[in-house]
Amino acid sequence: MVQKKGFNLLKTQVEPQTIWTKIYKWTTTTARAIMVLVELIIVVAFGFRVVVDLQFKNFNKDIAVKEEIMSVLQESETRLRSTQDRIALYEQLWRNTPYFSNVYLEVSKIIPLTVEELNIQIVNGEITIRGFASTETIATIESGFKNSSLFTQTELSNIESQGNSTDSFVIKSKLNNLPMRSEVLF
Amino acid sequence: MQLKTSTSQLREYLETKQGKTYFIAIMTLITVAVMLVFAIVPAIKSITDKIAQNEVRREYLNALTDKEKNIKELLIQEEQSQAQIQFLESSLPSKRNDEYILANIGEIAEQNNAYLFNADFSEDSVATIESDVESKKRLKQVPLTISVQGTIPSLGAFMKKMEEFPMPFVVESMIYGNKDVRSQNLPANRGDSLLVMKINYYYYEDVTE
Repeated sequence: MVQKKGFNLLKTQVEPQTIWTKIYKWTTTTARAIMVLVELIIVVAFGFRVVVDLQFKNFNKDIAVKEEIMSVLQESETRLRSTQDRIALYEQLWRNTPYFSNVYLEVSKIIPLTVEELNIQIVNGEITIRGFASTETIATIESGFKNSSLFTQTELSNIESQGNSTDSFVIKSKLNNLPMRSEVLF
Repeated sequence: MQLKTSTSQLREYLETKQGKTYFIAIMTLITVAVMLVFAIVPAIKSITDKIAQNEVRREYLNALTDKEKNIKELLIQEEQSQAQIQFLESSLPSKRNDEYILANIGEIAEQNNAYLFNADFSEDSVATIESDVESKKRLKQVPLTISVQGTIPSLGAFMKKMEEFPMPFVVESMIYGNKDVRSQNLPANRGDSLLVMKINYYYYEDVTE
C-alpha cells in the first residue's frame, strides 16, 4: 500500500508561554535536577554517616577494653610513679646538697694540732675558729685561710693576750665555692 | 489602590520575557537555598560532628594505648631493676626509722675509730629542697644532732664516710674542736676532739604501701 506523503511549509504557530507554563517546565527540568542532585548528596552522606557511626562504635568498644586494662594496671602505675618520684628526689638530694668533708680536711690542714681549746663552728656558710695559740701560729692560720680557695673574706676578728706565750683568737671566714655532693662523689 | 497598581504592574512585568526569566532564576535560587539549609547542610554537619567526636576518641584511645605500652615497659624495667629498687628503698626509706639511722651512724663512727655518744632526733617536717617533683611534699626530713668523739683525723674520716653514705645525710651546721672534751669530762682515751653536727636524714612517705 502506497503511503501518502505530504509537507507543510507554514511556520508552526506556538502559543506564547505564560508564567504557569514556564513554572511547569521549570518544575519538570531544573527543579527535578536539583532534587535528584540533593537526593544523591543525601544518599552519599547517609553512607558516610553509617561508616562514621561504625567507627564511633568501634572506638567506644576499644576504649572500654583499654580502660578495663588500665584499671587493672592502676596500682602498678601508682607504684611506678612513686618509684620515679623517689628516684628524682633522691637524685636531687645528692645534686643540691653541699659536701663539707673537703672543708673539714682543708681546715685540718691549715690549723696545726698545737692550737689549744680549739673550737670551730660552721653555720650558714660561715666558719668561726676560736682557740689559743702563739702569735706566729695565729698569723699562719690567718694566711692559710686567706690563701685557700675554699674560703673568702677571712678576718682576724679578735686577738687577746693571755699574759703568757699564747693568745686567744677568733678568726671568721666565709665558705667559698662549696662543692655539691654530686660534684665530688660522681 | 496603590497595592492593586503594584500587583498589576508585577503581573505585566512577569508576562514579559525578561520578567519570566528572572522569576525562574529566583525560584531556582530559592529552591537551592532551601535544599542547602534543610537537607545538605544538616547532613554534612551531622557527619563532621561525628568525625570530630571520633577524632577525640581516637586521641584518647591512642593516649590509653601509649600509656599501657609505657606502663608495661616500665613494669619490665622494674622487674629487671629489683636490686636498684631495693637499694633505693634502703637509701631513701618509706618510713621513719631512727633505730636504723642510729645503727648506721654508730657503725660508721666505729669503723673510723670514733665514738658516737649522743644522738638527738627531732620532729620531722616536709623537706625544704627545691624540686619540681609532683609528690615532693611526701619527702620528709628528720633533724638530728649527733655528738661524736675522736681525734681530728678520725672525725674527718667519719664525716667523709657519712657524706658518702648512700643514705643522704645533709649537714646543716657543725661545731668541732678539742675544747669540749675536757669541759664535758669525756673519757680522753676515745680521742681529744668532739664533733657536734646538726644533720637531716630523709624518708619518702610512701602511700602505696
